[in-house]
Amino acid sequence: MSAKKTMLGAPIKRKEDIRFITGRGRYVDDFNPPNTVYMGVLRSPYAHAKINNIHFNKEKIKPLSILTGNNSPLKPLPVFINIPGMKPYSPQALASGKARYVGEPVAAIVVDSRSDVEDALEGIQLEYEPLEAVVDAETALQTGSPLLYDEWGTNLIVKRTASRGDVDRAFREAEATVKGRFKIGRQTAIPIENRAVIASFDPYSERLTIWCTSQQPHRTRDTVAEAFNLPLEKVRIIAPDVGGGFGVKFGVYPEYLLATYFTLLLKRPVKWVEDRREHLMSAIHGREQTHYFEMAAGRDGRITGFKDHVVADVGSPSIISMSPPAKTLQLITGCYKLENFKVDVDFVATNKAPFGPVRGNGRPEAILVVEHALDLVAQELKMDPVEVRMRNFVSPRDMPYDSGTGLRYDSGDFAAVLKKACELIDYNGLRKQQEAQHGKGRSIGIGAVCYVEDTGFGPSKTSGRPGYETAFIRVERTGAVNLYTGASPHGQGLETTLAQICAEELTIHPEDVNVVFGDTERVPYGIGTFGSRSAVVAGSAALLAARKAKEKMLAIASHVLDASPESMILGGGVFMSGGEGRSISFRDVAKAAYDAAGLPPRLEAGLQASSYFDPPALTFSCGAHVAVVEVDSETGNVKVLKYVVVDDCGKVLNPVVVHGQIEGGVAKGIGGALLEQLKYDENDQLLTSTLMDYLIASSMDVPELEIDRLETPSESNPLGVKGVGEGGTIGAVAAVVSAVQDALRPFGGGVDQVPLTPEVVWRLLWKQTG
Amino acid sequence: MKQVSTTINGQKYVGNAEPRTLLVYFLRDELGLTGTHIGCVVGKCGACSIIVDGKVVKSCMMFANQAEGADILTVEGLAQGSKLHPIQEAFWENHGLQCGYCTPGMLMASYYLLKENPKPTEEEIRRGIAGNLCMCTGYVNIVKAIKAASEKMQAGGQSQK
Ligand code: FES
Ligand code: FES
Repeated sequence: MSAKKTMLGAPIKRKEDIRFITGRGRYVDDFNPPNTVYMGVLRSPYAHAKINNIHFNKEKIKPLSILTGNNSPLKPLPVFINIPGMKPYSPQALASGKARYVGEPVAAIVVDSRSDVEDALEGIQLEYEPLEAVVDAETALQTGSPLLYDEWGTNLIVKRTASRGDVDRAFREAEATVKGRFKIGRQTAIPIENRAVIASFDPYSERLTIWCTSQQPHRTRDTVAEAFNLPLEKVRIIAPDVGGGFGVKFGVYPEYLLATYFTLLLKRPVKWVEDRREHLMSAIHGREQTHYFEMAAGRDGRITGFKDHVVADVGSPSIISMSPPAKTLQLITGCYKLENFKVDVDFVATNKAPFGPVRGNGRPEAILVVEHALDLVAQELKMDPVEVRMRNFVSPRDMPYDSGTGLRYDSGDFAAVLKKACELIDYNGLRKQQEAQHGKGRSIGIGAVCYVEDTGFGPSKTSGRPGYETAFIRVERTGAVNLYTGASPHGQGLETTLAQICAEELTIHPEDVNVVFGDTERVPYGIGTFGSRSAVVAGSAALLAARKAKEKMLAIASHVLDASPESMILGGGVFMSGGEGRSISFRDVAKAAYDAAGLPPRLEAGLQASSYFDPPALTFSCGAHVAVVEVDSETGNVKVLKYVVVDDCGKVLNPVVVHGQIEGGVAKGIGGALLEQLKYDENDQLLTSTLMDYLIASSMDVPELEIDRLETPSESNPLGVKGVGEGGTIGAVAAVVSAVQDALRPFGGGVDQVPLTPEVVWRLLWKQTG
Repeated sequence: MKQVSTTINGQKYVGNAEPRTLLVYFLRDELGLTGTHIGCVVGKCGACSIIVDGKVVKSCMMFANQAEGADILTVEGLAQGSKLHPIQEAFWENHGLQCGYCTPGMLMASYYLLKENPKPTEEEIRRGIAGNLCMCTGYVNIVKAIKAASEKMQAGGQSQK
């Protein structure tokens, strides 16, 4: 097959798009089974309160059924991420005894019509006894702070440390040191589709079907079956089209179990579709951490030591709350060869919504802080920040590199991506311009950073959880292909990417490959789509499954053609016997497999194969981001003027899809650096409960991007790919912060938090100059 | 409950709505036109954007009753049979969508933008869709798609519909 004909690496249009652009996408809320009833969830108005009695207002609509936490028979939700030594807790679907955050479900009702939900909820009154709350992690660590769990005697859930070398000595002997406090605000993912579920129990077949907004249908099935003691084979989870996830649709939410409870009770489909307010107060929050960091360096710009104390505010702990801070700790040394470091992380419970993964999951936080520390070192030494980075990178010669934090970087040339990005944006030219404009009223800042990230979650062995992904392929009698994937895409373009992979292997057209996903009854057991893993792990599974199908087809073809198996080749959808010049089409071989009469002895009829691909190791993507910003010193407003990304995510399967992932990621990072913020007031109420208050990047906030790449193929999967779903965000938060820091330099100021809203930037400027 | 009759995508629709029923719920739940989406119900995300009497509106900001007698275009009505509208083609060709959730609203906002301003600059495009939020694409390819659609429609010598 000539390289030109290859499907992989081609910028082909996405298969899934037709249904989306014509309004035929099917999201959970688009399904309306007959006889559906609607669920509403009553949420705690208090951040911390004892829950006593329940009252009903007779005037209001009477619900068909009601469940409160104090009489709930539901089992606690299984905690998915456990850290050794952490304090025990059991997240409940409905708060019982006491509520621990504003928005925590305390009761649920069902009514006949969607428009009655609000009225019915107003008719229930719970008696609360408000308790003193704590919504700040550092306050929560002080003695005398209110406690989320009295039995713990503290709010510190667990403390983790990573260290290497002799950090004290490094600081004693340092020629220069910098230090700072950096506060990363609370943010969330904001898929434009909110969460939704329909649970439907059919009493005749005793089968339960649940449609839900999920990144992990099989795990949801396991949890639901276990929670209600249902036979696994009688539970079916469908994640139809899902309108974005970015981490917040990773886990099983209390509402999914509540809807299940009601359908089992009422034998009618139960639907719950949240509104944005519920989403902002009770779907997963992320990011929030405060870092106290110090960095030691020699006058030559070599980093000799790094210390960081991280206070991570995980809110009221839930099923995956421990994941982001743990990931921050693993990635805290970024792209740099640090011989001496010590980093510890306090995982702290507060009276805020549960915490968990938000695009990047703890990685943007780590990269932001280490890159910021390097900027301060450059400033201290009056060196160019890019030069400081160049002196400290882990080099390709060091690979595989043990980070000392539990990761083993497999590959990547950090200096090369940064060099290329600087060339693309004309870094030196920009610096000269910046110099020339200095003092002329425009505050331009340039930020150039590098990130590395672990992608392609697995392997099962070292992670202690299933880390494989699955594919099942069936070549139909017509030669068309059905590919069933265990991954659960929600915007990543996986239908196209997997079709390309199969098409390439089988030398057919991607249009002839239909990709099926998101239905536990149709697809093989899957782990799901998260952590930049689908192309890597699910893609490899698809390739291996296609390869097995091809092997069988070769055997059939050689038998039909009466040619030696070794002489057979497949190209352009035709099986050819090289020597004898005989051939048979892909389609005819498929037909032969099902007609069976002409099959070779001992070969079964049919044409299907499966693969459970478990990667031997994580694979590491990297990239450099350079941002140019302008800070308006009158208003504090920051505008991103120019943006360049050079990414290395290994082999690129479809550049259109890969660039799309980077562009979306960068927009999220810009939003994270400048806009996004979940705010609680002094009464512990969530102030940002609509999209009017919680701002995300709009078309006016994101510039045109220039994207280029290096391709260092991964050696831990047969495709050579690395994940790309999160790198855009990881690089962008750090790059924008670095650029603003650079812009503030002439004012003698610096940044110490995100988001850098106009108000914050104005204060940072004003504090120094006013 | 009141009867509401409208013309949607060239077809007559009659349905029932309570005084407080929002137009977006009427379209979706009463008429089964689920192409129009909901992301915020406060007029901020644009997922519910449709064309009412020639103007782009956020259908969560209107009551169903207010649409009595209106001429409405939703995403379902953009294509002519299996022939895609140039804006749809351009979104497809330029990877202007990922999860597809913001897409119907984005298409309708683009439709209105190009109707009002057939040759918009990049700045005008960005302004034109500033009320439509997308969390997947970073807008880069949406802007490109609208540019491409404008060119297609110019070349086609007409702005369809
Ligand atoms: S749902 Fe109408 S603007 Fe968001
Ligand atoms: S494509 Fe997902 S929100 Fe725009």
